[in-house]
Amino acid sequence: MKARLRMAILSCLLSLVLVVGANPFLAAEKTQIELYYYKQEIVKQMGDMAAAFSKKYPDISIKLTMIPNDNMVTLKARMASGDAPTIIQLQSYAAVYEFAAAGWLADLTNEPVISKVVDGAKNAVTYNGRIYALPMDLAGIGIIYNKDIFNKYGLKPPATFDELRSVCSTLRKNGVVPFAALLKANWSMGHIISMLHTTLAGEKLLPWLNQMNQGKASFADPVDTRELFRLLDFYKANLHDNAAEMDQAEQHAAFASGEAAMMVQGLWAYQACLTINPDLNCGFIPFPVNNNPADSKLFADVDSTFAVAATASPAEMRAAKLFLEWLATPEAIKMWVEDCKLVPTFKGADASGMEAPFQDLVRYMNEGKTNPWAFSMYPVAVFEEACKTGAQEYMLGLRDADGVIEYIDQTWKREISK
Amino acid sequence: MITSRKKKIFNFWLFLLPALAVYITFFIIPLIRGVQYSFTDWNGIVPEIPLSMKKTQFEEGVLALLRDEEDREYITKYYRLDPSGSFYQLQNWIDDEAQSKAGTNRELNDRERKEIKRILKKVGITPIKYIGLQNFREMLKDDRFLPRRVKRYLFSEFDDLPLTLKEKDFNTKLLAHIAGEEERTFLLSVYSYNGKNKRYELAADLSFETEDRLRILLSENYYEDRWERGVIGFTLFFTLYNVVFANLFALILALILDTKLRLRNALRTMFFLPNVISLVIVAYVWSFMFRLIFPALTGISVWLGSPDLAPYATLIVAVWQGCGYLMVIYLAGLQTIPADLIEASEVDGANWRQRLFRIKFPLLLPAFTICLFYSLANSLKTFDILWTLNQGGPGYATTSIVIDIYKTAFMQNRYGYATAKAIVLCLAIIILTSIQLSLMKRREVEL
Repeated sequence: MKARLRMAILSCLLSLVLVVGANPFLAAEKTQIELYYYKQEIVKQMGDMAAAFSKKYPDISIKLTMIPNDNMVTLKARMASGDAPTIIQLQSYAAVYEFAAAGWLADLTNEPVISKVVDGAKNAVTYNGRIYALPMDLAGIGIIYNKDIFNKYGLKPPATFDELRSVCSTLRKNGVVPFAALLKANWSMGHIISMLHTTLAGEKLLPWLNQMNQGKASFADPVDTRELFRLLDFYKANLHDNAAEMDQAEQHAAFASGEAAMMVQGLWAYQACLTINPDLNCGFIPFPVNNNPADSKLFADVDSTFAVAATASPAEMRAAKLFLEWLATPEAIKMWVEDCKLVPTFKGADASGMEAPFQDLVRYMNEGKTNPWAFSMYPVAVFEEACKTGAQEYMLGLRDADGVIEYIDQTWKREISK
Repeated sequence: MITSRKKKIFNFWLFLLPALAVYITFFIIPLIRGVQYSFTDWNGIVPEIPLSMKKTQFEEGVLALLRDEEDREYITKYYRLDPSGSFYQLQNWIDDEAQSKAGTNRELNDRERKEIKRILKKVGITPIKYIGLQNFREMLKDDRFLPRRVKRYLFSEFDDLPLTLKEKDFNTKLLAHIAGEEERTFLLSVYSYNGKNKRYELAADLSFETEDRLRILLSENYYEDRWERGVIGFTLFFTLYNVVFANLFALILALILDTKLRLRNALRTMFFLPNVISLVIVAYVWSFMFRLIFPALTGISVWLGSPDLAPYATLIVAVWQGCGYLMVIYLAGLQTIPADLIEASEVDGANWRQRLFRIKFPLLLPAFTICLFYSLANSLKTFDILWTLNQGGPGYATTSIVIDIYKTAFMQNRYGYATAKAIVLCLAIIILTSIQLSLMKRREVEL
């Protein structure tokens, strides 16, 4: 008798579960969206932000997926299998362009949140006159220098190439490595060659890019190539002796410990160095390419953006847009700045709570002394293969200057002929 | 029990069917798809049916060209003008007619996608284009893929001037590249030959102008010509040495551990262990070895970062990791050799060398066949060790064909071309291993 009763209760419960589970009206209450991102330095912070958002909109929950390395590989594989995440963190320019061109991204041009973004940041997400992503953070690549070491040897942050040369020779005489090296992975050299090339090209950059995309120009055209590769030679001569062996972690360790006085890197690296040595006292300056201080502009642009997949269901689309909207609220900006330590792109966002190098970045931005991230405007394969590997090979002596330029030109021609 | 012949055949197929089904879904179909993709220019991102089209393109390029009224109706059902009025967007989520309540929606299903694809193909809209043999032809011109000759510059303007240069280096890498008589005499005036140690030595106390002139001269003319292996060259290099050394060490270890050594079971486990450890940990441990221990032992500071040494460094790790597995196969082979044969030879007075070459090796031939096949096929398609150690770098120095395929597909976004390379690799592996197998089998039969 008892057993029967138990069975009856159990089957009642089971059928209840089945009914509730299958009922679309009950299930539709809550929308779950997936946010796919690659910035591995903000894992905990993204969790906090998602929780804060869900607190405000209890009917929406955000599932976070973080793929740090090869995130594009995973993303493409998921897109190809028709399983696109709702919100996708993409690198500015080329990545946004590619996915927008393939039709994967929803058009955000008329979303109210876009009007809150500073105008200078919109270029990085505009494809064919329409905006396909929300620019999220500004980042800069340049020289991060250790103020304590500079003060110790009475050095001033260099504004011209000659000053940089003398700073380096003073440092070397005192047994300090001028630049913490990162040669083992090829991406850093890709950034550096593009940064030097862009700074040397100056005003000629955009017309040149235009010509280049029509197949009428060469990478060598807007600059004096001797000057460009001379700068690479100079950089190489001021690295660690075992530079070829050093990867990102070793670069950070060398810089954070004071073994090296400077590093040519993006500001995200400063963030990592702070976790090794919290007492680091640093500044951030552009890499001077010649002796005209007016030419040295900071290589800074939009870094990451959030895009919404065009294939999302209407409910997911609504939730995703609400999330983007929420990102522009003071609460979210505060978390973005103070917890994630990223420079926001929203108008009038308060970044005064950030450390000195970030303040330097914001100052250069406000003064308009910046160059755009040209490498993000190159076709993806040109930057990923020809620039990164080509420049690394030049540094290791595997390819001469003409070879690097030829490699870039050939890859570029192939990409635009597709 | 006697079963009829018919039933036997039926049972045989019944037994085989699940395996065959799995084989077809997981091997044959992907293979056919792969061959298909190798003739296209697909970049890995563009979907098979366009997700959005410009208004003019859609109206003039699709609707105007479709002759069949039914098709037109079908396609306008799924492509609708977006709010901005300039794009037709594929409706991935459409209202569900099956559900009575309005507002519920469902995702497009495969049948509908195929139908859309078929209709769009009629008007020539195929995002993925077939380009024939172009991918295969391009491989012959790919200068990453094939070995090539490069100049390697040995001095840059900002380096410290070399105080001494070896006589041979001085003559072949520097003096031979300078044509001007004036420059030659200048060079020979600052570098004087010292017959005692066969070196050219830099004169002391040079003026700044002379030093600068020398720097420019050296940076332009001090270089060497050398061969770059290229992707194919590296893969063959890696395969050759990996097959030879992994098998050699495995055989030696197996012969030693087959004797009545004390602790031999513990030792067998130890030598097999590298094969069990996760590759990520292997890479981590060896990176540490190459950074801290090898420089201290050899005095060479850069291993994995040096384009000359990195191929050998990865080879060391691959051999270390691979030979334990081969050793187990050899050990099993050795233990199947009947003890009476060995004893008989001992009685007959054969020394250990005769025993090794006349008895053990011939009887080990099946093990040789398996080990060579295994290591050959595996080395030709190595990816994991090279990727975790060095990501195929520095430059392209440790890029095997599979790493190159990965980079082509996912970094250069050339899915079609990468698939073509993969097809070629697949054929190469099949050909090489079947040559090896047929040669070895013939030897086995001869015995």
